[in-house]
Amino acid sequence: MVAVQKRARPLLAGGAAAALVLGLTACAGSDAGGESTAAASDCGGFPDGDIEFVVPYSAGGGFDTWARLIAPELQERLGVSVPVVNREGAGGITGVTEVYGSKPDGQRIVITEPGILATTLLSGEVSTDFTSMVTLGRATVGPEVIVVKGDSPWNTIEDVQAEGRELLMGTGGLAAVNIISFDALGLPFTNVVHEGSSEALLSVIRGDTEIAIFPLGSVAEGVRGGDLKPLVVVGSEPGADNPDADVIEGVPTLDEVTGEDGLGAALEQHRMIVAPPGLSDCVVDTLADAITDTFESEEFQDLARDANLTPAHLGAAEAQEVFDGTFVTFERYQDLLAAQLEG
Amino acid sequence: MIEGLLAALAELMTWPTPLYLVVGAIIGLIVGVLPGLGGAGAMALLIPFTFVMEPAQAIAFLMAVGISSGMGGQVTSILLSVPGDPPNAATVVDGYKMTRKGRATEALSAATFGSLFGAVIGLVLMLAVLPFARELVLAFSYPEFFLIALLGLVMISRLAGKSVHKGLISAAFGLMIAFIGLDPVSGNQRFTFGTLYLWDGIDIVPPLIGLFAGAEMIALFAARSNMSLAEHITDRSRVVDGFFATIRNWFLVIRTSVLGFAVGLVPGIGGTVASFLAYGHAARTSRNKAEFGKGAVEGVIAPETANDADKGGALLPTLAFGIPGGVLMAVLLSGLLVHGVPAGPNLLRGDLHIVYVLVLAALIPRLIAGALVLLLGAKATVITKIRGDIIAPVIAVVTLLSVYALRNEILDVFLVLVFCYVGYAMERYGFSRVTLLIGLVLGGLVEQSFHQTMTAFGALGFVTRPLSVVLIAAIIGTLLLPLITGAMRSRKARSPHMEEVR
Repeated sequence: MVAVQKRARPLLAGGAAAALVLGLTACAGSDAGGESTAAASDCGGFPDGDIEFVVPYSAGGGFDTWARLIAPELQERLGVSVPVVNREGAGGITGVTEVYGSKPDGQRIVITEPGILATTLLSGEVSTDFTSMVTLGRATVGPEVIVVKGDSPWNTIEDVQAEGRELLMGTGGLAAVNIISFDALGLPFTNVVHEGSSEALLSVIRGDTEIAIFPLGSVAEGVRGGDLKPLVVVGSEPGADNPDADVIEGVPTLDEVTGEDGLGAALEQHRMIVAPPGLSDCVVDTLADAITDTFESEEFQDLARDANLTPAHLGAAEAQEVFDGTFVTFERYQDLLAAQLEG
Repeated sequence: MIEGLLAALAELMTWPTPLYLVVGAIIGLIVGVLPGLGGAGAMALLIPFTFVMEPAQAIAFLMAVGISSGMGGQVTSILLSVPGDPPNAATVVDGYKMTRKGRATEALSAATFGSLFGAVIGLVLMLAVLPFARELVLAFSYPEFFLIALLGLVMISRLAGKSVHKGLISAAFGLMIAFIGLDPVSGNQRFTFGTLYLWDGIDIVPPLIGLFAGAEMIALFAARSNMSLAEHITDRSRVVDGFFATIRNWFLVIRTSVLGFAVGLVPGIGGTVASFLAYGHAARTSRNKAEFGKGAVEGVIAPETANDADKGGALLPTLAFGIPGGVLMAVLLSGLLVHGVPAGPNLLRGDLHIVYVLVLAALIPRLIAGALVLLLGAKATVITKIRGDIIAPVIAVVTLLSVYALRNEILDVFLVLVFCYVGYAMERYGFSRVTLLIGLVLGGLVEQSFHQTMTAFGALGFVTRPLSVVLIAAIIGTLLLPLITGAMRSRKARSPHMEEVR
């Protein structure tokens, strides 16, 4: 009998361990209740139970951090649990595709970026019509920066253009922002693919590749330390509250260099919360209002600042304009994208 | 440097930081024990909890979680043939065989002390090269990445088991699996059957769990007896056996530590590659080669040493450039950023205090976790005495649940089940599961770094760099060494009086 009891102990320990970890995982998104401010009754019973907030990337990344910051606030305002679920895969497409196919009842939303959706759609790899998705609001926007090695002889993009030859570009996989911005600048390039942005930037610092374009947040430390030199900002100037704004002070934007108005804004990364197509206006309003309310609260802004994030909120209607605009802009470049992406 | 370390120690020993270290180590162990969820994933989930902490406390806590998970992973690898974390996979092969032979305690202890020594050597190396960290990190480029991967593939021949052909077939199968997904250069789909699921290729976790854990569970059932995990019920081995085994293999510990450190230095190549390389290296150089795959203690020491030494190396690109040397470091970096600690060039040029905090935070939780493993792990060996038909379903359920929870992907669970049978069949018909995994782990790296070299340097790039020439020499040496030693041995055999030497 003694032996049996002895055997049981490690098993119990394992069970308790599993429970603890599951508990920890859930902690990020539980603590339901709070004061319910949303008018629950006028939308056919919405919200009816948990609202799943899908992050189409793994935990710990930029999209994930935003979702985990916003979810508890929505929970408080809608009065139901808003668990964050990571559904990574296919470079951020799997999670969005799943939400696209869900019932349009507002119980499942996803944080994504229209650029990647437009690129995937235009490449013809998937048949999901992402354009019909409903936008609930934009969380933030961040410019992309074209960088070269810190001690490179090139000091402006004109110096690079004067080279008049094909450049070696370090990428973490070819994206529309690479293809379109370099086409607009008249810079032909050969793509050297890396595992991710870190490896690609390191290749620029080593001098194995000559040029790269990555989000401001990824290049900021390299620029500050003198390892990287910013040449062009693709996107709008970030607000003064962006902790990395100092890095690209005085650097010309893509629009300034090319004279094409609004191209940079279409290429930079807009992180948005979207829902499946066919969502009723009433549910859209309820969710969008809760998001707007979140971004307007001082408390949330403090939280975001603590997490080193810069909110740049847009309401549902304005965000939808940006969302649709991205697909329109990218469509202009469809032939170019198709040619490059098919390699 | 000594004062710096002492000041950092004083900071880490200020209440409540020791509490965070202990809690972090315990969480890390638990996470490590669960297959699938690794240290990095757990750190990512815990970052929000560190918002309220001071920067040094947060670093200590996150490091404790990330660092200890490897130690938890080795426990399940050895006792249950369930690799808790991918870097522990190479430990399964001989660790689990040792358990079957009633040497579980020795294996656990050897793995723990191997980890500790590897960690210390890795961190000492890191501090030693800190002044020229930047040059060192920049020395490795595409040709070196390719040759490191090639070196790993060359070692396959030694690990193939009885039949070299079967070993090569499984390695080729592993490479085939590695090439599923989007082509890294052209972006074309390969073997995806039009499903989004296969776009990213096959994640390492499902094959790992299926091939090792799943196959062993099926084997337990197929035996249809009251057999338990361990063939020999009484575990006569002791903790000191493992300790002395590690000491006896001190030279192997040093070599695999350096190997792990060098692999950690290269961004994008992680502990899994380090541990398989170390395992292959140990198998090639060990004096009792025949024991490998059947319960050689060197097969436990080598991977565990390497996958802990690699974290010392991985710290360098993180600190020197703000560019993470692996997933774990990527998460740590985002944790540092949240707390306003800027990694990158300015960090090394300025105050090194935070570096010393990092080093100690990487070391102390290991001691805590190591002590816990030795105290509790030895007790946990009773698991291996439970009847197989009782314990196997429990392990299967927990494992499959963990795999599902990792990515919320039900297809991952089906993939595990497929690989269960693949692994069982391979084991039965004498195909090596290790060579399959090495092919799978290195396939992507070989392909990508080959393309990178060809695009950036051209074919000559492989042979015109000093470091790549060294690696080529190592590859040729690895290939020729058995021939040379074989020739020498046959000469010795011909002169009988030399026989006593061996």
